[in-house]
Amino acid sequence: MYALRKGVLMSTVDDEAAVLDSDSGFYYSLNPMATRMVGELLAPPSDTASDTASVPGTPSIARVASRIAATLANEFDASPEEIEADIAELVRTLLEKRLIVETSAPDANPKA
Amino acid sequence: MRTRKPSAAERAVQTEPASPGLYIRVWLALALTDFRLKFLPYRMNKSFIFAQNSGDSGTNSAEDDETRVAITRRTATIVARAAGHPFIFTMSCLRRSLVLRALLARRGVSSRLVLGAASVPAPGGGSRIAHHAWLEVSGVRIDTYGAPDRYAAYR
Repeated sequence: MYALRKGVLMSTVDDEAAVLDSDSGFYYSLNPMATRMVGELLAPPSDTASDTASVPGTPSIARVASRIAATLANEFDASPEEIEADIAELVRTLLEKRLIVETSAPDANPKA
Repeated sequence: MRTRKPSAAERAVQTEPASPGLYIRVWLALALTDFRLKFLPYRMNKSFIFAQNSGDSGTNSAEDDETRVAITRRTATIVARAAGHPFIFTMSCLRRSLVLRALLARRGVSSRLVLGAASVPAPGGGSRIAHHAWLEVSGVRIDTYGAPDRYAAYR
């Protein structure tokens, strides 16, 4: 599972979202699809299925993407494979920009 | 004829008449804040913007909250009036909120800076994200810019 990093704040406006990194001063705007994906990404899984891969504490991006794609498949006019690929790319981008971290990370925002 | 005893909130705001000197001091604080935000690197302004508030909220009785909010509204009016004469400076919502927070902290009133975002129409069509800043005192939103409530707070 993932959470916003400490110092990263999010504001949802209508169906879009803005993510503010207070450490860098940059903000990012998310389109409605990315906002929906991030909402699912940061929400705790509804079932008992874990996003943790074989290595404890290491979330699998592919597994997370698969779980979220299954949830969003009915909402978007795209194939589950396309949605899954988009989610995986979004997660990698958010990780690269250090906007999200694993929930177990010490710099995870407990409020998110 | 009996006169009504002023409430604690009214007594609190009556202790500080808004003299011309006060307006000048507030205006200078706004100008200095603008200069700082424009010319110092962000890493030096980060702790200034996101600082924990130093005001002491004290006890949380309803009367105390009423007093804090009354002091804040009074001070916010002074800040807004001073900011009405920007000259060459930018006296935006963030500058106003930072100065107001500092003034309140000096009076022992704890406040929280809140940043918010809203989706607004873009000049060329579509939409863009607009930002706004305001303070919260005892759960009450204090906006020195009179912006609409459409801004959703960053959390």
